Amino acid sequence: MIERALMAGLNHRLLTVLLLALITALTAEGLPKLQVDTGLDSLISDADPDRQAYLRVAEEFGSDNRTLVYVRDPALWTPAKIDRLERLHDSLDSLDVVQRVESILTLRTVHGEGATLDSDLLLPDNARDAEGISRARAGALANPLIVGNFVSADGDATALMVTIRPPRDEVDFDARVNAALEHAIAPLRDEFDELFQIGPSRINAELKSALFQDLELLAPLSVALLVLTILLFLGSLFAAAVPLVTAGLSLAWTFGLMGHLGIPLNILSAMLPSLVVVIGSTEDTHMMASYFHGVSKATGDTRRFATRFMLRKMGVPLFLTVLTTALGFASNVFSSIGLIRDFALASTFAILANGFITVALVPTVLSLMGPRTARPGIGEDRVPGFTGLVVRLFGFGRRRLSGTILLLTAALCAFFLFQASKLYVTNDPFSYFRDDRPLLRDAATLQRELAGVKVFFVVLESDVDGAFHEPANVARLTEIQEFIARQGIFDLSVSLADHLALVNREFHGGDPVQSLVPGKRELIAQYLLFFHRRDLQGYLSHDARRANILVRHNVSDSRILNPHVRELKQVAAHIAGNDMRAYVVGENLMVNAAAEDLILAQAKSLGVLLLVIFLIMSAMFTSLKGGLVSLVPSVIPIVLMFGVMGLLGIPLNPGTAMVAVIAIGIAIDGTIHLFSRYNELCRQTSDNDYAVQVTVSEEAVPVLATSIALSLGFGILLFSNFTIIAQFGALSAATMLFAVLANLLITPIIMSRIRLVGLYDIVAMKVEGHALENSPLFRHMSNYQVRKAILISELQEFAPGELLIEQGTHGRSMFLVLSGEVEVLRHDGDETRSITRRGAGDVFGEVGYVREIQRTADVRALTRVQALRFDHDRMQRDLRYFPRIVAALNFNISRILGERLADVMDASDHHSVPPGEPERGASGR
Amino acid sequence: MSAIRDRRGRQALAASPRGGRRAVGRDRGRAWGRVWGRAAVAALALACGYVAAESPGAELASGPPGEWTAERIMAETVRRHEQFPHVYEEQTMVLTDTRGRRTVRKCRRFTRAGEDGSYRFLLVFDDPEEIRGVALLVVRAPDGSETRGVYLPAFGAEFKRPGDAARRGNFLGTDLAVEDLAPEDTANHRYVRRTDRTLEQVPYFVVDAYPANEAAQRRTGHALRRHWVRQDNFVIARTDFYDRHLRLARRITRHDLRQVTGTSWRPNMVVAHSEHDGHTTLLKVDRRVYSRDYVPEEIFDPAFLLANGHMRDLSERVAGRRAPAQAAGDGS
Repeated sequence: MIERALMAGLNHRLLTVLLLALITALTAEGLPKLQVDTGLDSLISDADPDRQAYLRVAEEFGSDNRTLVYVRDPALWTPAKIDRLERLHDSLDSLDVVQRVESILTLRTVHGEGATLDSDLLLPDNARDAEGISRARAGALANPLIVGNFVSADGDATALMVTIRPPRDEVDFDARVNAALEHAIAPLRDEFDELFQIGPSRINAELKSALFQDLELLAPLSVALLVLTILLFLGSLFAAAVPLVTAGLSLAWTFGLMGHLGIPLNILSAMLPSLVVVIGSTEDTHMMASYFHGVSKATGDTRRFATRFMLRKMGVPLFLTVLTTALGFASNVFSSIGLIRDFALASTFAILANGFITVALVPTVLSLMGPRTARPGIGEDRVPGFTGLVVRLFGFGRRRLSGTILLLTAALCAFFLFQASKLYVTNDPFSYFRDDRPLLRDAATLQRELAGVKVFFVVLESDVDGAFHEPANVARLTEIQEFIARQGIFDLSVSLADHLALVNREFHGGDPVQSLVPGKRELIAQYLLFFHRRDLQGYLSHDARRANILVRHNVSDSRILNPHVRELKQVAAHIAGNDMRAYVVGENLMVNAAAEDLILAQAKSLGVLLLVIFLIMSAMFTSLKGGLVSLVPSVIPIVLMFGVMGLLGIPLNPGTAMVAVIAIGIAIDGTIHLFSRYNELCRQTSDNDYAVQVTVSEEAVPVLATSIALSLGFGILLFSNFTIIAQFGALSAATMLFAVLANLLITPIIMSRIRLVGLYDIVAMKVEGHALENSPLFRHMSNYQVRKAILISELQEFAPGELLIEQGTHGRSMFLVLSGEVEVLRHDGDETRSITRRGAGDVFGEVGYVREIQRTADVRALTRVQALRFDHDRMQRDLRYFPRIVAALNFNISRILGERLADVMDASDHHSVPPGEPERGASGR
Repeated sequence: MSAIRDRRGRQALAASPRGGRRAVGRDRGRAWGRVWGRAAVAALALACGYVAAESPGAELASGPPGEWTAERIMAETVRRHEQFPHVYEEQTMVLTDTRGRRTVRKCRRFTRAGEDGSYRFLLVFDDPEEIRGVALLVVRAPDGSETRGVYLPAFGAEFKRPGDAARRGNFLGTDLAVEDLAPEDTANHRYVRRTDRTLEQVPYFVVDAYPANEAAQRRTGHALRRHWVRQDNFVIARTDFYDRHLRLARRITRHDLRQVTGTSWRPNMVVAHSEHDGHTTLLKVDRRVYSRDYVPEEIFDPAFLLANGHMRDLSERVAGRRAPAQAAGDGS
């Protein structure tokens, strides 16, 4: 059935093309519906326990979707500049996307002196002369709620806090907000020394713009590199064009389906064009190499022969590799982080679609217009050029230094595992950008002068109305704020306690000693009358049950942020005690907390993928140990990759977190191709080393070509606008090169020491049933076990007259005749007599198999003979992974020997049979 | 004034006080039932006490609306409605934030207006308990100058004197300014009459009020106030406050208008809405008494306040005098 499916593209070309055209038309309808999502929400884990609390807090105390407009000018506090600042303020305030603008023009301040107490705007309309402005500056710098928050310590810089009107889930809302803010700012940019805006809208807008830049740059670069690499290795423009066609169709299907299903394009799925072009091309390259191999062997209809050859040779490995690569991507489908989940869905479909299109389209195209001439190095034992050099070098290492190489690899893996222990995780939108991005420079500038643009909340909640009129409870806020200050990584915290302390100070004539929370409940309630509800809205609930500490910071590294937040949560919970609840929440915190989920997701994905691949490979090679061994060449690159990350300080982030699973999915492809070919060759020769050498020679070109193409393709991602994509690209490229090392050096060493049997071979093998069913060697063995035993053995053919066993020699092989007829001849001096003739199903040479003795007779082919040769040493080695078969075979051999002994004994007793004449079913010793 | 726009740049003139009108209608319906019972007493009291000198029913007595100047319109509003020298009110203040969450306070207001244009009022908070006794005292001299004092019992026996900012800014967490609670200071404003408007079939004079001098400009928080004066009774039913960029910043509407005498009306509900943040303050008059006894002279004495006299003695005193008081208005 598999073969029929694989041959469909060849046998039903018109139908195949029509089917592909139909699917393309259906999926293409979804393309206009494709949306782009760079929102922070997709970075937050669905499983975050703080999500609900955050939504409640944001609803109560206001959104943290705030943009800061930074203004710096040495002459800021002059009527002319204040006038321009007001124009800026008004311009921002008039935007329909803006809910509120807070600035030194709207801030209120309390000022007490003697018996007077003024609570007024910092810069009232009617005091905008030089004197009034100067007074305002002094007032601002004396107000702890303003300095560092809205005005820099030197007074030359200020920030306008713009609260964005919900909803943010409107399509392209952030882009619209960002454009509106920029439009409002642009005319006044020259009026100040420095002027910029920074906030979630700009971050998202820049993410989106960088994403499109990536799409425009990276996909064409990937295509160019792919074409060049394939041209270099396969020397065929046609071979280079095939992956482009399959990748183009796969992408159209994928993006179309994403549009239909509402899966948005995000910063990770922007890599899809590059990934599909690069990964998809690996199969195409293997297929093209195999096709050229077929061309080199073809007689008659070259295209059809070569295509059939390619499909027979590549069909199953292709199926397996598409499956494992898709599994690599799919292992992230259950990630709790929307960004990764959406990418996993899209990329899994893309890989499956690419596999389907490849299987369907490539044979069709090749059979119609494939090249008719072979390429040098393909189908030849000796590979020329650079690939040949690599093959020879690795071959030398394998033959002469295999033990050393394995030892060195183990040591290297141990070292890199140690380095991997230094791995850390981070997930912050700022860390996605390159350091030279103006956005990051502006964020750093802002933080130097004022508190950072990132905001989170610490909320204490009581069940008692008016709880935060109680001095003891307000003191808890102060205690938490003091702890935040001691932590030393957050820029600023503001709470109800600060407001009360300020009023208390001003009620005492501005005495700094009185800058503390009053000790009487009534006084707190009465001080609160001095604030308008809007001034306290961000800090105190209307029923005074909940109080909020607003914290601003600019930490962009989850490794630093998360432990401090965890510590803060513990302390806040401790301070809250039993009568209150404490929440430390913020969108930014949840995004960073998702970093923790990344590690779990990474471990889970890796575990699941390794398990699934292990099961598949075990099934495919019909051995659990075989499944385990086939993982080794894939695991080595992953260990090295994590080691490199630890060594170079590259963090685990949404980009790099995917490298391992994707790399395993890809690296296992090479292993599958190598093992498949090796097994095929092992059935034709008893020389394992030769089989390994031929396997490596044949597979070196496609393995090296695809690995280098993959490395270069991934390397292209270094040009991405996003650090996480560049890191993903660099690590993937390195991992692909590690995979070359593993597949061409380590895999052959392992291969040469084991023998695996492909399930497909077993199923597909045509056994001449009658010849074997009655063979005493396979007595009481299932058909499956018989086939497996046959596949482990060596199939040999003999011409008439050729000796299978020669009398007087030493040998430890046993034979089972599959077809043809042999004659047992015994030489006694000059006399030669024919003892018996044997045919299909007969076994001989079993005594030599069990114990090395001198052969007592010749066994010569009378006709053309096909026989299975069971070599003792090889069977012991290869069958150690199949103990049940070994036991069954040994039992049957023992039975054969036992029966023969009994026959000999009977013959001795009755002298009916001359001594040494073989019985039916056993001869040749 | 086509240049007048709200803060989003939209034409503000087309705005309608429909909501306010509906509220008036609803409250009026509920209130009438309660009012009828006291109507006779109230009418008697008013007729005997304060209204003798007035000639009622003189709507637009001096000519058709087209002939009225802005100054005359404003003078008429003051003449008709600010004629009682002693007013005592018990009020409920409801502060509503943008999410509809409410904070309720109870307070008393004592007002004394002098014939020379002087004006004093004291606002005392009674509930919640924590803010009981907090007092705001405002004294306006005949020349328009004003002094203010705030007393917080929990802070101690000290009277804090807020500056001009307290006059124009929100006071005690509300959306009202002190100047909103005082009678129109016609001497310090320049008035410009705009095109009359009709809203919900009620004709209005539209009068813009600008500070007449620099001192007045400093005292006020707005560049312009636009009064919507009902042509039938000269009540300022709505005032729109514009900032110096002529953007609508705040709106006060007056509802549940009660006719005190033939020409004098008082609103029983005032709603101040901040356009900037959507915050609203509703001031509901639960009880209003026109009585010298209810507004004793000493209530405006800081020493009396600092001794917490307004918290201790006054209630007993008022309670003792309530029976013979000349109660007018409602008490709903």
